[in-house]
Formats: sequence, C-alpha cells, structure tokens
Amino acid sequence: MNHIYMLVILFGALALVACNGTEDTLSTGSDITSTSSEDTTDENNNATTTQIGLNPDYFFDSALSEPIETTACTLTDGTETLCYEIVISGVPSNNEIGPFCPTHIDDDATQGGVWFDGSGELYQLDGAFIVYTKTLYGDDWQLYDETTGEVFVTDTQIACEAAARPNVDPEYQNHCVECAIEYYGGGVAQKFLIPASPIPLSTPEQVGADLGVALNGVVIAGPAPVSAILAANTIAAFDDCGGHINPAEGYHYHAALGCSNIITTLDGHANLLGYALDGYGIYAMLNSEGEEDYDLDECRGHSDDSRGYHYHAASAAENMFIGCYQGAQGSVEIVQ
Amino acid sequence: MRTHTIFVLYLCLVSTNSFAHSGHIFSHAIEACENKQISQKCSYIVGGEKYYTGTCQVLNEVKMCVRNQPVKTIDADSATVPKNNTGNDLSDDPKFQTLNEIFANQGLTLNEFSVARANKLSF
Ligand SMILES: [Zn+2]
Ligand SMILES: [Zn+2]
Repeated sequence: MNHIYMLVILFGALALVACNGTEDTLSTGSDITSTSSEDTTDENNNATTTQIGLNPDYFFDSALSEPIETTACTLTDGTETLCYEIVISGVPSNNEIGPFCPTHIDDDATQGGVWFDGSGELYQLDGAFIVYTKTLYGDDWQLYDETTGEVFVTDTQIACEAAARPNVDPEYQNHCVECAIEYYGGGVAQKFLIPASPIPLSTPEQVGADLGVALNGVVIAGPAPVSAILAANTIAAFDDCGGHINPAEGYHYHAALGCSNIITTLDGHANLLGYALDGYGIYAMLNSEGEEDYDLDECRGHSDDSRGYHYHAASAAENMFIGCYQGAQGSVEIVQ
Repeated sequence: MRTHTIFVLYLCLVSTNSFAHSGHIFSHAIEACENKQISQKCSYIVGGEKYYTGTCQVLNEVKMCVRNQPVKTIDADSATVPKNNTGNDLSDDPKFQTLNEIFANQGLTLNEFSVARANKLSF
C-alpha cells in the first residue's frame, strides 16, 4: 500500500505544480445535484439506472468559443435526440500550456513535463530522463548532444511538423518532440455534440482517438500511440497536465493529472474533470481519502445515486482515461 | 480525430521494422491482451511488485488491458496473494487470477518471479 500512497502523493504534487495558473470565475465546491436527470426503463418498464446528464454550468466560460447551446443530433446508435453543442477554443482556461521538453540534460523537473509509455510508470521529463532513455529504450537512443548536453528538441514549426507526422523525417528521429500552440492560431477550436441525457448501450463500444472534453476546454484523447512514437526514437513530450500539441488537433490530454478537476464534490467522491462523448461524467481516479473504487466495470465506470452512471479516469502512467463507452456517443469535429 | 486515427494507423504500419532495433520497448498492458478477446480478464505486473488487473479493451485501435481494480502491491517474498480493502484474499474472488496464473501469463513461475525480483529485474 505504501506504493499506492506514494503514487497519490506524486500525482497530487504534479497537479499542484501543473495547476498553479490563473483562477477562473467559476465557483467550485458545488455538488453534482443540479444536473438534469432522467430515469430510464428497460423493456419490462422497470426502472433502471438514473441517467444524469452533462451540466453546462460546470465548464469554464473562458474555455469556450461560444456559450453552450442545445441542438438536435444523431448519436452513434442512430438515436435522434438533443445534444449540448460545446465549442472549445483549444487552450485550457485555467493554466498555461507546457513546458514539454527540457533543453539541457542539467534541467530539472520544472523545466520539462512528463512522459509515460503505457508501461505503468510516470516519468518526470527532466534532463536526467533524457540521458536515461538510452538505458530504458536502447543503445540507439541519443536525444542530446554529448559534447554540449543540449537536448535535441523540435523547436521550430518545421521541425515539429517533420517529427509529428507518420513518416518521421530521419533528421528528427532521436528528438524530444514538441509543438507550440502559436503555430496553430493559438488554439484549434473544436465542436462537441454531447447528448443532454445519456442513452445507455446494451454492450460497450470502443474508444477512439478522442473521447471527451475537460471542464477547462481541453480535448480528452484516447491513449497516445506511444509504441509508434518510441519506434521513431522520439518522445512526444507531455506537459505536467498530461497534454501536448499536434498539428492536426492542437492541445489535447492523454492523461488525467489534476488540471481540470475543478468541480469539488461534497460527499468525498472523486472530483468531476470532464465529460465523455456519451454524456457520462468522467471523474478523477481517487476519492478524497486517496482511494480508488473496487466496483468499476470494464469501461472504468459505476453508478451511484448522486451521479448516476459515470467513469473514473485511470492513472497517467496507464496512458488512458476510460476503457470503453457505456452510452451512445455524440461527436467531435474541428471548427474550420 | 480522423487525421489522428489515420496517423496512428499509419504509424502502426510503418513502425514494425524500426521497432525491432529500438531496445526493450514494452507495454505490459498491450502484452497482457496479446492472445485474448475483448472483455476477457487480463493482468500484468509493473516493476516486479505492482499488480494490475482488468479486462481487454480496444482503445484507439490498440487492444490493451484496462485496469478496473485498484493497483495492488505484491509481496512475492512471502508469496501472498493481494488483499482487497476488507483484508480478504483476492484469491477467493472469481474476478481475480491467482499469482501463479499471472506469472504464467508472463512466462514465469512464482519461483522465477521471486528470483527475478531478487535480482532487481523489471518486467
Ligand atoms: Zn497526442
Ligand atoms: Zn464514482
């Protein structure tokens, strides 16, 4: 158990480091009680799980390009229903983006972000880790100049895009890859359609590249393709919030590191951090006691009276948020 | 999103050769589901002592083990089975595999696991 507590402390520390940005005007401390809810019934008209939908008031206003509206939509299972239309501006509203790569092997943890490769470890991306990649990943790894100690970082738009493409330019293999949001208009706006009242599925469905939206206006993505990234001898660095930038989507999260847990629950349950495309809430992994639930299903979700069905994010070291969808999904697209 | 998916798929297609010479790149969560169907139980061990258990799911085109039980710390020296929060042995819980099954999935016997751990090998 000591290790679990150490992880909790580590994550807590990371969250503090990462989330010391500007405060927004959204009041926290509210409980999840004002959300619209609806009881569903099965074929025998028996009451089943209460469906509690997205609460638009929980989003930071400053994270959005326009106010949240409702609109007609068609979900992945063909259901025609009402969705919330959420248009994000593409930058987190409550903290700065980055830093990602350290620039010198002497840099400390404050000068870089984090790295996780799905192996269950969360690494501080400091100068020492850059050196350690040779031990960790193989002798053909050389992410820094042995003479100067300078880290090979993709520090221009040309370099970022040459490294963040499928056929990584050989010139940018053995690089710590990062892109600046300024290259992409200061943020890539995206429009989410999320059902106002979740529609449960009879069998779970697979998670794709993007799976939801955080309350601070950041896309929640599926697992980062770390094996492919590592195959090019690159590190697609994440910042301390578990996000990074690619040319197609701008800034997005691959891990929950506490930067959007802005709705505090009053009953000791973990905090809400965002919503999945099926309208179910995504909560942090741990409750106020630092413990994780034992009754999560294969999608990493469960139900309670206050929140209905909802998910709990996995740890950052696992390179994922949730395991699958239990509800019919809306959609997400880039706003041209 | 679509671009992202195509990017991932393409990377998967082109990565095989360069992957081979990149040293011990590993992902326990992916390996744990290599010969399993979606929704089947899976488990893996990180750092020789952290025990993860869940089910196989496909995320972003990749089948991997999605943990749905809290991470447990294994005490291999005394060969005990992880306990749940009520202090009961998880070996009584049908959701859990025995340690021997887990080690077998990783190609090890419990004894080999203990030796590996004693030698500070990570797998
Ligand atoms: Zn990404
Ligand atoms: Zn919960």
